[in-house]
Amino acid sequence: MEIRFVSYSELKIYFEKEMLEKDLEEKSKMGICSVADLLFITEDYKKGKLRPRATLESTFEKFQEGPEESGKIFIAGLDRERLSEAMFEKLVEGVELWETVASSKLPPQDSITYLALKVTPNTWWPEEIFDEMYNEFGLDEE
Amino acid sequence: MQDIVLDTNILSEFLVQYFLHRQRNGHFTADQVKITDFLNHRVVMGIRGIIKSYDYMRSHLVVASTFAFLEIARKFESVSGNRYSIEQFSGFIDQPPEWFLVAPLDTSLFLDLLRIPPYVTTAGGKLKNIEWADAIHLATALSRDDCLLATTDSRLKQLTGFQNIII
Repeated sequence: MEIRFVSYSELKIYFEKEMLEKDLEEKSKMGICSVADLLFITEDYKKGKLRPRATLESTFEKFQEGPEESGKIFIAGLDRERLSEAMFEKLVEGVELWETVASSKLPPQDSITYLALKVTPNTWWPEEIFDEMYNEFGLDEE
Repeated sequence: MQDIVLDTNILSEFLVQYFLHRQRNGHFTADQVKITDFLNHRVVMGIRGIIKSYDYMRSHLVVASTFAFLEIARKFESVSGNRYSIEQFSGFIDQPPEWFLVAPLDTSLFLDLLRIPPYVTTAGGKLKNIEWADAIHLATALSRDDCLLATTDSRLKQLTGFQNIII
């Protein structure tokens, strides 16, 4: 199974047209996105920047019953275990915060995305997913 | 009694008190939660009630979203003010008290976020944005049955239709 990062703009297109990008229709391909992008869809909708074909509630239901249920799109969330594993660097000398996300340089929704998609021993997706996300809108860590 | 979701400011203030008074064996008593600028009387009474009743009822929880912890991390030094360490903060997330739930940020919040209007008309008649970040705390409360939100956000407090759950 080939897996790739799904950006906010692609997700937005799904919620406007109820269509996935063509490559994701292939059986051997799936996408992964951050829960922050899905939740941010509601923000754009409420501020009139997203116009679904019907109601956003019904499109969300279709999304859940379609791409999400079938595993075509996996939404990486941020639960307690993920937060603990991704936000801290546990060293012999002590615990440190992951400097990149623990910074106001990133907008909060991007901090969520970094944490949700960070590759750690308990994630199953390849490192390239984080790199693809980072190339899309990452900031220089320096 | 109801669950209480804490927003970021209130969570941070609560953590200060928790780490100040928690004993080495992890014991923390309800009466150690005190009123401060952020923790008003109703919030303190609610948290105390949950902690006190947990041993025999186990029915209600103090709750904060993973996002509240992330917000603290993003400005850790200024928010913690050296009153708790990163090790303590990390340890709390790894192993919160039994009566505390670190609620996930997941798709279950989607429909509740939609219920929250994007703007609020303030007492002065001005239209103000409801920030996405603040709406997450309210959506976390809405996603749970019979739950209150403890918030310092003046805009959320003015939202029509939600005042009965905001303390």
